[in-house]
Amino acid sequence: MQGDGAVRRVVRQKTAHTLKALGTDYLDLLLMHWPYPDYFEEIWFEMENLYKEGLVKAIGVCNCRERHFEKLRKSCSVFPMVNQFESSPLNTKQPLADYCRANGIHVMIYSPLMNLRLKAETGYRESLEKLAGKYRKAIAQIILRFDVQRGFTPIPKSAHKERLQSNIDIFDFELTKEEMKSLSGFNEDRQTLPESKSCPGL
Amino acid sequence: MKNLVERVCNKIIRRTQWYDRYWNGVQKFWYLNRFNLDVVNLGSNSGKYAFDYEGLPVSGMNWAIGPQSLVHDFNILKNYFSYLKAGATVIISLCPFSSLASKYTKMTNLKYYTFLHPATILDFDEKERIKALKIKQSPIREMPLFCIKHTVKEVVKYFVHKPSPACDMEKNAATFIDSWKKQFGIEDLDAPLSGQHCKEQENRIQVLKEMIVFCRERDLKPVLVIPPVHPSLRKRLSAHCRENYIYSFVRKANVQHVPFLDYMDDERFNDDKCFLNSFFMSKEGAKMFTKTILEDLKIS
Repeated sequence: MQGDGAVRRVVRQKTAHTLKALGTDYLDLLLMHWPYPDYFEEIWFEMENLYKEGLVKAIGVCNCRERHFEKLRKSCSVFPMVNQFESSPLNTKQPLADYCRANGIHVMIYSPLMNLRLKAETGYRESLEKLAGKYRKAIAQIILRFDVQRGFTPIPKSAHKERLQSNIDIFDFELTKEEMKSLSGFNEDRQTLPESKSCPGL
Repeated sequence: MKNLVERVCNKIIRRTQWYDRYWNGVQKFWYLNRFNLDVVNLGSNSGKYAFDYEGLPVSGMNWAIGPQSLVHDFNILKNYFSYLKAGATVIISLCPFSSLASKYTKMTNLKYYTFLHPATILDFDEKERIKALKIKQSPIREMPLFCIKHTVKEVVKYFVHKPSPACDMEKNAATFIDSWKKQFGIEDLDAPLSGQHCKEQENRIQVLKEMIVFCRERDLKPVLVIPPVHPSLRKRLSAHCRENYIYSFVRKANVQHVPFLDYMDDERFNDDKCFLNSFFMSKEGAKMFTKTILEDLKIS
């Protein structure tokens, strides 16, 4: 722990500002954006305090791997409830997803549709289009449904009303086991946003 | 119209060799879009010239930048390891004096602002960061005379091409030894390390230890490598010198016993055609060496 508690003070201040800005007295979920190498455990310690005080109803992390959780396990009193990371059929991160499931950590997916901007292996786009045609949905909806059926909560961002509506409209169809397997088969561990560039040494 | 001229000028400048040299070849990180790399090498100038993965059946990249210290090697690894696949090999290329601290200037530090996260830049200075990013964005706007002068020089050189004379390896090796002695403040290469050098070596041992642990924690395979040097330089680095500056350093840092491959005396690389000078390998030599090391590591 840092002697003067500067990091912990910042966590508390940021939470207070957010509560004020939202005009509420508690937050449903507070996430640590990155497992900052030098401050990871200290930030988590303060997040635990906020959780115990009832200011936040759940606490979690982002972009954490198995090793980060195992590090926290040694010192934490509350284990992370959520892990938010980037994933898609091109980057399934299956071992991490399995770890989260086994440890009761809910998975949130950020930038779930970013992979559509990448040049992927031949067949990926075609496969998505085929499924989109079959279910009369957009390919973005197929990907979001894929995430939901993996037990994840994707959080696509859009400023367009129609797209926002479309992103929610994914609960009236279900991909078959074969279709899920086929989409997972496109995994090439392809990161859209290289994590180490945003948080060196994470 | 002014914008168009600026854009055209910048496009031309970015293709010149002097501009590449200005940034010490860091442009490879600006446009990096290759994921799941099988192997990368870090290192300073010797590593930069010793590795060439072109045409080899692996996805590899040369991440060495010259001049560079071990500390910056580690910072590059911290910033870019997401581009490596699980189980990838990280070749940590060492020079004869990697164990010592070399001084760096604002100018040699400038390049890091263009591709490293601010948190990993030594002696971070916001003014320097803004300067670097402005030059990167538009060199002609930030340093017009410098750009014109060097571009014209390069164009003239292109048309009035004079073949460069063959390197006198013996003379060149002597120059390298002298410049290292001056750079690191060494009087006698065979003498035991001074108190200051012992301190510097302790720091570098810690950095190398941390690099190895860092790789292992992330399912990467670190390998310590000393690339070949020309026989004329090799003979000037005595057994005492190597023990003091290289081998004792590696032994103390490599407590995890990762592979250490020393090609300094490898006679397969005795031929002059393998080298640009007594220390830097030629493209031909680099290809040959990279193929050899990948075979030795059973990566190819």
